[in-house]
Amino acid sequence: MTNQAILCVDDERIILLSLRDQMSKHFGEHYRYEFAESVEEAWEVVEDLSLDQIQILIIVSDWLMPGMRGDEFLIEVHQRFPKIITVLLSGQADEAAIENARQHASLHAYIPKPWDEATLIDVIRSGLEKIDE
Amino acid sequence: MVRRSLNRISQNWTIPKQWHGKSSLRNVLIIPFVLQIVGTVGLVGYLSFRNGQQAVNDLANQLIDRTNDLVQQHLDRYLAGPHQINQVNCAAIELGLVNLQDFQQVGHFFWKQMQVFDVDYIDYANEAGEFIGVERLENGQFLINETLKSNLSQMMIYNTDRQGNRTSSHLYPEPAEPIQQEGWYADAARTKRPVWSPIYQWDDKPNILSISSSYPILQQQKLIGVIGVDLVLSRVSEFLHKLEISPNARIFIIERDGTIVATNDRQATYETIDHQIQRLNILNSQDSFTQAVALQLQQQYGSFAAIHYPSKLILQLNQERIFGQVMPWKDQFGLDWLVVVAVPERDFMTRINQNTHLTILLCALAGLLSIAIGILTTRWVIRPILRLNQAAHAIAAGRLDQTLPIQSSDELGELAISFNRMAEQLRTSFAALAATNQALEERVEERTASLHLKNEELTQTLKQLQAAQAELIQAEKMAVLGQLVAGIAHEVNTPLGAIRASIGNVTAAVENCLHCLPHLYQTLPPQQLNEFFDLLAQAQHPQEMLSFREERQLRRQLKQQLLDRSIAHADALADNLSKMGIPADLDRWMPLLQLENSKFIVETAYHLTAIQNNSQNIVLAVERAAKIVFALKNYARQDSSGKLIEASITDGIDTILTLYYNQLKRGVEVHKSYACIPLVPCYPEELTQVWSNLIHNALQAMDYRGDLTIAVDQVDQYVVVQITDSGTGIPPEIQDQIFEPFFTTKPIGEGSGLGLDIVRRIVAKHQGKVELKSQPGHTTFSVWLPMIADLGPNDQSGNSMC
Repeated sequence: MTNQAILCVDDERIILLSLRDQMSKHFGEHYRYEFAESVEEAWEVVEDLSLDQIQILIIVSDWLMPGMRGDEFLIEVHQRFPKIITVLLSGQADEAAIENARQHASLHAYIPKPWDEATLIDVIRSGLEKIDE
Repeated sequence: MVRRSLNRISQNWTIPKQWHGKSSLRNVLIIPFVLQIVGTVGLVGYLSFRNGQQAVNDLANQLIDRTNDLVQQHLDRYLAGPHQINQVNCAAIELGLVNLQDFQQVGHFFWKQMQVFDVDYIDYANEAGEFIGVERLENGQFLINETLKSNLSQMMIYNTDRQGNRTSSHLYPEPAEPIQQEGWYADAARTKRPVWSPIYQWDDKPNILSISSSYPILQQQKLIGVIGVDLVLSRVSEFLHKLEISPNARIFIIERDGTIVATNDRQATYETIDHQIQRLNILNSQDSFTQAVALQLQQQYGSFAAIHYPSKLILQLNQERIFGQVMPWKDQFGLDWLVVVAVPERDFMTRINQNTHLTILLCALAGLLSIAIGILTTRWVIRPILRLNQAAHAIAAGRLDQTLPIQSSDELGELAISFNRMAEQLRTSFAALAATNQALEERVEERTASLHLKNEELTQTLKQLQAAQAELIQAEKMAVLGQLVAGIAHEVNTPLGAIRASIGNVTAAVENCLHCLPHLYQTLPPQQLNEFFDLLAQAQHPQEMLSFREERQLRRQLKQQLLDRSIAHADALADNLSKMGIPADLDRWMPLLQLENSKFIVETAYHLTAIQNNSQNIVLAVERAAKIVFALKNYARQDSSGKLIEASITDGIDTILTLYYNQLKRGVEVHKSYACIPLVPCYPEELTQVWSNLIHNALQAMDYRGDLTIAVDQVDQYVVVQITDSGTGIPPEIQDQIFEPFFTTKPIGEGSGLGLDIVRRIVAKHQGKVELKSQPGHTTFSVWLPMIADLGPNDQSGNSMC
């Protein structure tokens, strides 16, 4: 099976469930899809995948979460894994946070909730293409 | 009188105090003046009167002493005379110078003696009964009376010339008594010593009292005759009478039995009882004053005989004082008399009283004159002052046109000038004041008009402000809402996103199923088909909802089991099985999994499950969205009825917590402690504004990280909601200000500053109160709401919301 993964982080289970089916529907078995309900869990997943020699290509993160906000999480991710494409998916994020993520996390895209499925897929696809380049 | 006037003075001393308040200036000046004069004059009069009385006493005593001395001396001298004559005659007889046989010579000798001595009778009688004597008449003539032994019963009376020669003679008309029986002779003859005879009255002149001094003539112890000298005691009375003492003074000399010897009262010294003439006792004196004095003396001493020493007396007669002195007088020949001097006080007092009357008159005159002068002076001094007073009163009453006549150049004149100047200044000032007043009134009218205008403007502004305030309150509510909306957008968008995605997923899953199921039915033997549906059933009724972490573990376990059983596509199978929640005990599914197309079978099963999963996801998302919308609706609801509604306090708080859910979840731990309390009559939508403001402030105070404690309790008849945050706290110096409108610590644009003012207003509307306790890390706002509100007619129901 593939050694490349897409990680989604959101405190809302309903979001993660719907993302999971959307992802697998479009990208099938080309990638692994991992889901974390908090930033803390996300780091666990990152560690696990790293142990399994699985490369994380894209992280899609919510902005408003308990413990840590999405832009801060993505900045940290970018500092440790600069190659990972970062995407914000949020019902509400202020401009300053998005700008912060753009500058310090090389934010690939911000997708507002409720998102359009095609937009999401396009963003992920363009992100994947970015990696290929 | 003097004493009474003194009393009046002493009474008056206390009067000025009582008068002080009411007395006019005139009285104040006159009364002390008059009092002083009356006092001085009265005192002078009293002292002069007293000195006068003292002088009277002294004078009376001196006078009486002097009079007594004179009387004593006179008596001593006068009554010594007869004895001296007798002694001289005795000596002459002894020496033989006088021949007692020769009556011619003896008579002449006696005549000669009479010229020298002031006595009334000098005589000699012998044992034979012969008598020779020379008598002094009242007219100054001398008679020689002679009885010879030739005829012892007749007496020849001879007139005498200037040389003492006998001239004419006549016979005494009555026969003479034997000489030996006459008292003057008998006493001396019997005792053979010189003696005084008793006092006797003349037969023809009973008012004349006489006394005789008799000497016996002895030759060889044999009595040959007796010589005698008669003394008229009436002459003592004459002497007493001549003494100038005082008009009513009485001097009398009495014997020890009270019979009168001499007096100066010129009254008879005898009385006639049964045709017998007797000497008068002083107690029967016809002079009432004399009699009264004697009576008092007798009463005081018991009897006249008891008086042995000179003494002074003050007697009281008819309320009149009598100065008196009584003094015994004696001689060696047996006379023992009392000399009494009595002077009535009035003799001196007449003069003194005249003086006193004069003094009083003069005092009264001086007093009246002084008072008159005083009153005139006072009036003269006061009149300008009174006029000044009247003018001042007039000015005080508003009549400013007062001018005082200037009558003198003294201080009062200066006062009048000053007053006139002052009045003039007052007139000027008042005129200026009136002008200023007029101007002021005009200005006040102008100001009033402009103020009226301003007032209307202000009223208008106030109305606008009130409207603006209502708008502001609503705006504040909307501002809080606006801040909420940011979070709520996320809250709403999250389920919306999930719904949108899930719908797409369901659609895709259905399509997949439609595509896969026929193939599955065709390829799968019935046994495996049943197992497939069992698998499906297992997936659709999972024993428990797995978290993504648990799912990952499950996936790992499943993969390991599949690998252990050498089943192909372990990764993909484990992935789908874990997503379906199939427990990691794969023995039951092994027949199915060992099939060649197991990957396809499980995939198809997952698609079928995904329809249900996504549908379930949609339900959850819709519930989330509905909850938020409901909370929003609760929050923004405008209840226009303005009536109290029985509502649950905790429900209101929970609504706000729902709205703030996404802000709370960032880093705030909410601790709720709700006691079981009944429904409370309140304005619920307004209370939610209270909770949202307080919770919003609490979250901001701790920057969305920390502990938020919400406690609802019942204390007495109050529901107490305590909202506590663990923020930095409110500095004490601004704790008093935070409830004031437009007070804010937030940057401009972030807060209206109305939040806590609105909280306070709403709580006050509920008859409740808001309290604040703050220290770093622990800030509590306590809202007290009465459970039985007297705000409206709603009755208290017993419903509890626990």
